[in-house]
Amino acid sequence: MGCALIGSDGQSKESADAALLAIPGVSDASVNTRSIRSGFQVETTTTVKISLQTGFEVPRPDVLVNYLLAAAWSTETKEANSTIVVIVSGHPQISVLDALDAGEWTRKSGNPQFAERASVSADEVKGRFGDWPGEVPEMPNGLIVGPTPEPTP
Amino acid sequence: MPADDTAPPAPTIVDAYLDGIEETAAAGVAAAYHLQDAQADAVHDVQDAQAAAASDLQDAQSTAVHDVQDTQAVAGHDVQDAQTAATVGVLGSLARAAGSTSRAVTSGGAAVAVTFSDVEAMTTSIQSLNLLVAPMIGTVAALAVDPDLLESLVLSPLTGANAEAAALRAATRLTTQLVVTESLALVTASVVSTYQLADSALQASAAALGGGVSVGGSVVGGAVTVAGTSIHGAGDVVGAAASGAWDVAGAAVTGVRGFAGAAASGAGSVVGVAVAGAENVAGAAGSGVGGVAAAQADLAVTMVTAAGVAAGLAGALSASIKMGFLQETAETWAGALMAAADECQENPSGVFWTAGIPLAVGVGQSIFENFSLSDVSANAVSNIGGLVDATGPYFDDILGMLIHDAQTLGMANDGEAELGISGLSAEALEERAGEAAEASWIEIAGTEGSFEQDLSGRVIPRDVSSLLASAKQIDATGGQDFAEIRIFESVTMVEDAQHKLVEQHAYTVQIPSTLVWNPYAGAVPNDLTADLLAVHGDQTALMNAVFDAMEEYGIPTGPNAPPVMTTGFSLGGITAAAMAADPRGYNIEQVVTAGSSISGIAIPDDVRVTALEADEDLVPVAAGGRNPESWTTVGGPGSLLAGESDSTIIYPGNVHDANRYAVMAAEHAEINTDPQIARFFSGEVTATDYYATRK
Repeated sequence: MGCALIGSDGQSKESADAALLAIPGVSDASVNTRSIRSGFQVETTTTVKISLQTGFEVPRPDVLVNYLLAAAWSTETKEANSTIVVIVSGHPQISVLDALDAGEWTRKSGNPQFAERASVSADEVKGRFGDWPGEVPEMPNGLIVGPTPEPTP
Repeated sequence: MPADDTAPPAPTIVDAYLDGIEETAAAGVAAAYHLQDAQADAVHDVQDAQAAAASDLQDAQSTAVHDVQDTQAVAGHDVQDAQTAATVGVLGSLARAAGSTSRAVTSGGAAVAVTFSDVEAMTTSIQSLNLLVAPMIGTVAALAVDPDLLESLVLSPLTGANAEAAALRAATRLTTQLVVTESLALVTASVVSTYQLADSALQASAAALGGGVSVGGSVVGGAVTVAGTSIHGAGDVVGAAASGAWDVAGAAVTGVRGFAGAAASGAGSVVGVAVAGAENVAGAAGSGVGGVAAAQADLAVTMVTAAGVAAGLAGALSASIKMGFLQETAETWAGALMAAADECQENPSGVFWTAGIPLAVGVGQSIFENFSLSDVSANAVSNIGGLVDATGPYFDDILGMLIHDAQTLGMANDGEAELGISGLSAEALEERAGEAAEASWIEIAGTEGSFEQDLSGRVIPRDVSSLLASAKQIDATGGQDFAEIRIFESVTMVEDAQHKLVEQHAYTVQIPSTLVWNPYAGAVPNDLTADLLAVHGDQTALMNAVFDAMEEYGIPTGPNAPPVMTTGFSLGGITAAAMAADPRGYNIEQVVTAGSSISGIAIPDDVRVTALEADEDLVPVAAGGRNPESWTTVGGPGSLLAGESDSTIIYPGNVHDANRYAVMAAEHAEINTDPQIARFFSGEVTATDYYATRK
């Protein structure tokens, strides 16, 4: 299951933040870009971050992470030339690195001790979603479900 | 407070310089394509000529051609020897002249007068000598395309190709020498103009103040009395020796004039801006009135000298890039010819056909396969290093002048730094650390995985490669908000003399690189100001902050203190080396640097130094000189990051990168796992960060 694209090129940070916050079960969301000088070059990273309300679950982490990457790539802050970082925090906690694995992303990095986060090469994201800013993705149905009812004693 | 992540950085002088460099590089690349087209045409022409000549020469002229060839070879050697001797003579004269000028200038408090006419006479004499040398280069270069020699290739490919290669190499060597000497002459001339300009401004100001006032006693009837504070002028005379070269190469190398002109255009624009700016300031100062005039004149002198240095740096860069192209072109031609000759020797059955293809086509093909823009970068960097070397012991004067002038204008005031809080939440710090570690892994390893990290996401090094990933991480975490200083403590259990297990400690102190290029010193102590002062050999606020962190951490000092390794990338490495030269009681036993200019730092002989310096990197050659033989210096071409291919061009702009050096370290197992370095990573390793900002 991939993520469909709405067809418009790019969106503002405010629009991207609002779209992510509109996902049922998401309590906090943001897309931010940060640049640093590395030697004589400027490296730019985009971070897409969401927090899930307790009890909400992600049935297909790879679909969620693909959607987040597409949303980050469509956000018109500044084109990332280093990595796109995905952070998903919640209870239960998914492994973003495993989700990237399932999504067949190859140039990635993440430490199992920090399951909530992992990064993908901006080159690979560009290869999959096209030139920056990418098209605004359509939110797939059933990205996040819940809340799971508390077990009755 | 952290900088606004999304706000575009304000343009700076450095950005302008970098733009100039990028323009130069782009022009150079475009010119390379033009050059390649020209080479392709030339190859076709040579091929046609050879085919025509072959049918004519098959009749009988082999003996005569051999005679011509022998005569040319002898003549070529004679010309080359004569040229070399003449050029050495020029360089010697120049060095003596420059040396005596500078010795005179720097001879304590004694005031020595050097008139404009003296310097102009020296300049004229140097240029006269160069006028003799320049045509000789053309003569040698012409040998390579001499019709008789080309004909001889048909009959004796091996000898002919060797002669061609020798002629090309000789021409390149001589051209390089000519550029250096001509640079010195041009710069000397420009400095005279600079002083004349400044002199006029000072005199105008003095007149405005009442006519009887001599400004600092420094203007004496058209001569400049060089003493005291005017010593920075001496830096100009010799130091700007690196300047002016951009004008020269085009004239010296007529065959690629179009290319040279294109390559010069980028830096030329920077020079033009700098010089125009200086003239405007000087002119404005000259027209000043009243008590303000003297201050204006002082500013004018400052601006003129600063602009001179800026022009010099830009000019040297441009000339060196052009020379890099020329050297690579000549080397590629020579290499192709030698390879063809070897082929002919191994397969003598074909006279001017080798491996089934015409000799000329084979040579041309080899050129296009072997011409490397990365090698051009490496040549250019080597040339810049050579130009800086040519300034000899006066480099410090030049840099000192630059710092003095910058401080006069309110820039480069280092002040003091203090340790404190980062201003970021723990979560934000961890996010930055994680982001950097993951990006580095992707660039260095290229496979799925991650570095060993502690609970806060800090990279725990286990070899030099991961140590440099940590260097990148502290740069990325601190950014333009603070200088992040990291201390690793390694604890291993060893048996003592009584066979009891005891803890053995070793410390690694990691220092950040330059993250702020604004010439005005701000909150972050790892900036351009620290660069200038550190290369000049001065103590910096950054270095003092690192010592403060070591003290706060509690690293023991004194006799029998545990070993300490200082390390860093770029400015971090320079600071690491400077600390080893002034250890303040700490037992610094090892220094590891990457992309750092440290050759001039007086590190004690008992300190091991390992320095990674890619051929294309400008920073390690910034101070000139060569690392002592006793150090371990790892050179060679800059390494490719994961995801890059052989077609990736390595140049000064992208080679100066901690991750690229991490790959370089990984490619040198003897460095990456050097036991003397690895002992700092053994056992349990913990990391602690300190955050420094200027007061």
